[in-house]
Amino acid sequence: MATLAVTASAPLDTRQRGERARRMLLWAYAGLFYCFLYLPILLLVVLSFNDSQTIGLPFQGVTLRWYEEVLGSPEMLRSILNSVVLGVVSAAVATLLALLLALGFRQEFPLKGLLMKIILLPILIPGIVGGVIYLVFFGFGEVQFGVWTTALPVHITWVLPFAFLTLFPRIHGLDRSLEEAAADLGARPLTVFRRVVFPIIKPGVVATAMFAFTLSFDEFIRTLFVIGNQRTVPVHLWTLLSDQMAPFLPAVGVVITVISMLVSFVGFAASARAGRAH
Amino acid sequence: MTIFDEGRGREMDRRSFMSGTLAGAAALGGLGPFAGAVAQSTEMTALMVNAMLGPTLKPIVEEEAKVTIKEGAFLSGTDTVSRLTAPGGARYDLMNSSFAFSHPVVMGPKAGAERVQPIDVSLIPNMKYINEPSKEGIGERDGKVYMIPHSWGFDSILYNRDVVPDNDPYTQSWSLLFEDKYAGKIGWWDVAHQMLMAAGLYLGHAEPEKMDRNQLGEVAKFLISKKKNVRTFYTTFAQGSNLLASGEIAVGYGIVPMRVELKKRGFNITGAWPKEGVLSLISASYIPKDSKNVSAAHAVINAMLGERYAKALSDGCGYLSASKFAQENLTDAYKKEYGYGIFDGSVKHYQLKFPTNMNMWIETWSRVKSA
Repeated sequence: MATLAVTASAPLDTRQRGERARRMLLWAYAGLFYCFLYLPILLLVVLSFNDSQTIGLPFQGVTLRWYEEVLGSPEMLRSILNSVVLGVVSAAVATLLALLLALGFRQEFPLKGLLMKIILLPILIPGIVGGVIYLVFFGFGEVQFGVWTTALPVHITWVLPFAFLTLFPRIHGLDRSLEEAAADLGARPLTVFRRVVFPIIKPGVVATAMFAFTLSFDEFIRTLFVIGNQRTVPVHLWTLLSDQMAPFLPAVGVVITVISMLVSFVGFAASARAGRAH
Repeated sequence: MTIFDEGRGREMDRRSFMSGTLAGAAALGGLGPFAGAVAQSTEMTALMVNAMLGPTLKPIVEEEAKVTIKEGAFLSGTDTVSRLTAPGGARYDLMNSSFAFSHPVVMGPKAGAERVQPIDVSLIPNMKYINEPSKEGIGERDGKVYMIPHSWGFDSILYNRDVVPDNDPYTQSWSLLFEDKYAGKIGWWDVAHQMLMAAGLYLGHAEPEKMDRNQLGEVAKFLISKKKNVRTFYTTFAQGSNLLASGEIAVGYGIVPMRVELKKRGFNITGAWPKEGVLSLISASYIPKDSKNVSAAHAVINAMLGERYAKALSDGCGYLSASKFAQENLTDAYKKEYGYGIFDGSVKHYQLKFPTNMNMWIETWSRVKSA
């Protein structure tokens, strides 16, 4: 009897041990994965408080002076403001255009495939080539360089294909019968969009806008060619890197990360609210 | 003629329309960004090495010239001359870049092909104080002046004195940047022009900017053979300075503002004076044809040659003023430290001239990097 119990529990123990080992491996893999993703960000935060003239370890004491330098610089604050406003406006415009395009692309029309490729073209053009093209284009048009006159159209053009690619699958997969049902019940097209379609796609629209904002906020090379005497954060950072040691860079990184996180938080909150309402 | 005039008329109309629209937008909305796009008489735009208008220097120029300067983001001399030749004009009231590098593009191949406007020297009274060696940086043709020098910079090898003793014979030559003694502690500046010039000088080329394909091939072969000694390549001031300051590298190619800032921050790092010569450049100012505030551009050129700016320049960013004012009351130790020997011949230098075939240089450097 005892022999039987031993032989029955042996494969069970092996299975349990195997399961435990598998779990441990999974935990180790996940742990390493998250360390790889988030340790550099954590290190950036630590370095931003490091009282050292160089960017790096060892940690030589806590200081807030790098934040004082960053937040006390009018140029830096102006460039942050420019980037945020540019990001918000270009994200809003690009998302709206992407939404209209995605709705339009549900229909069949001549040269649809070609038009799709044209919309996606800015993704395929290398940044520096794009920058030169914009420089030449606005040069011939004699458009004054600046945040609103040239950088905004450039950012919208850059962000639009990504916004379209994010939004199109969502709208393409929308059940048309819902719209047909609403129309059968007498709703006009605008009402159908406002009361039926938009509430369904709203989380996707919010996510697209957030993504577009991030892309615009990070854009450097195209902006550099068309921004003139104004600065966005990446352009300002480049000039700092070009002519000083800039030990305050980790603090700049943290400030930018916080801004991006705040925007994401607002986006997630809006998306969640839209989801609940739906 | 008629067609030309009509074209010009259309051009003017479009310009008027654009500026009118922007001014209207600014007036109606009080929008800051739009307001910035409209030129004001005391406001001028400039594109030059940002350090030249650093925190201690810009206020001097603005006070002396009675203008407000809006600077563009300076990327490189190549970028500056590219913008000068871009369709639609340079869009800056004043530009500044290395004389030897920019001269062929700025002046054009022949009279009438200049891409900038003549400078009215009667508005630059401080021009008479330009020191003798710097007069080489005056861009002149048919009695008209197009480029005016205002400072000198130079590149050399920066080294950590805790690792490399000053009396090490390697510090007397560009060999420090290449040879095996400090293998694994060397950093190279990732720029074709400077690195190939330095290697060319070290290998004995009298005029490295004129190297042909075979000679460049030899230089590439040498650099590839020495690449094993290189710890890393860097592209920016901040990157190079941090590598030196943190001790990750002990030897690196460096521009003079890097040396000054590292010293100011208390690092035991200095620059070598290679016997083949430091790589020097004269920064020269020029006024693009489409400058909208020509009088302000003249005032800024004059202020940058003035006594206050000249005396503050070396402490501000390490460059040497082209004005005679700069050396007044300086100690010998200070002059030696900052490289004023360039002016009296005690420091050998070689100007970073524009290569005969830049494309070939870029191709060669790419070969070195990818080897």
